Amino acid sequence: MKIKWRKWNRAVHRDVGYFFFAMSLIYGLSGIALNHIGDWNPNYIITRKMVEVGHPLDQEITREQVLDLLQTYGEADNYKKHFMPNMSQLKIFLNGGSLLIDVETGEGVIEKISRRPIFHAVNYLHYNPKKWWTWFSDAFAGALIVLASTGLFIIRGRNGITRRGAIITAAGIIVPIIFLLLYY
Amino acid sequence: MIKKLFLFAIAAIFFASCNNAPKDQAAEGDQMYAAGTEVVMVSPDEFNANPDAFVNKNVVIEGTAVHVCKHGGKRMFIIGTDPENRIQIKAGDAIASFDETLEGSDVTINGMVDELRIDEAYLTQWENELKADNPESELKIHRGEEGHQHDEGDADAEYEQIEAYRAQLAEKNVDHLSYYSIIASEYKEKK
Repeated sequence: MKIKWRKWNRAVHRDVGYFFFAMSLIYGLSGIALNHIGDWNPNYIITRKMVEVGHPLDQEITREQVLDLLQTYGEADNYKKHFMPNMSQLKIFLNGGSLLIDVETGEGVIEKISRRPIFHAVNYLHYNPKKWWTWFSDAFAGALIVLASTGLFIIRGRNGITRRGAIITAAGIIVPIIFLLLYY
Repeated sequence: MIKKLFLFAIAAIFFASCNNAPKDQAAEGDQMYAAGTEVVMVSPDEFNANPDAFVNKNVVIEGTAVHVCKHGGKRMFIIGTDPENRIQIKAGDAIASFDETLEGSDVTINGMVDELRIDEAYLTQWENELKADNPESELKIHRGEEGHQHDEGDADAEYEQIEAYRAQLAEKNVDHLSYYSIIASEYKEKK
């Protein structure tokens, strides 16, 4: 009996593609995000607001004084802890941010931080958080090889791998080869 | 039915990604280290007093997280009673990253103490990587001091750092400087 390999090829390509649809989005989005990690913070949205206390602060500032200070900016309920990282700076940790003040000038900056929707989650997954996730992402990597290989043989004829498909596939192979020849 | 399932799956992914509550890396089991592993309990002040004594040992250390590196969260710095003595904690293989929201929280860390030796060969290699325009050099030394993030990607700042280490080597008349960090396998935020 003749094996209908094209039929099986299409079925494998279709079902593997369905199953790993979400993984393709996860690694596609996080890949772009992490490629440009030098240009933006893909995990967090950080906003900064300059503040002016108006007077120098005591280096031995108490918790109560810190809470009074935070009251001015509506952040008293977010207080976590404070400390002096050096002789001239006071750092107050808040839930969802911090306040850094120059104790000599009274000038400071409130930094608020929140997780970037979608991207924080997909980047977390990209960094292989657990062993079983590593296995699943290995399976996805293998599936990409299967998808790429089976994809070559989906279409027959003018647009198939023997004609137009061959030219486009060759173009895609040439790009990494040129890069390797130039920089490797 | 299938359409409803598909929409439900998309909605579930979206809500999962919007969950802002960080989870402890040790949350799957309260045990911070495997039974039978020799572990030294140490405070940040004890560690800073003689870090060399703990090199290549498993330690459990508790301190206040004062900084989590903004890009990638692969490093965190904790302090004990002396805010100027920061201990660098690196995320080990089992930890994807440290959450930014840990800043200001007390954390318990289980990990292996590592020593980084900086000598002339190290500094020369680091310098060569800078000349080769490698912005993500693994040789760059992170100390987690306030405002250091403004120097990220600044080659001039790194050249200055290299020269400062050379000056320290000459001043102390030693062939290397040692910097210690803890490669964390688990951590837990104290609530």
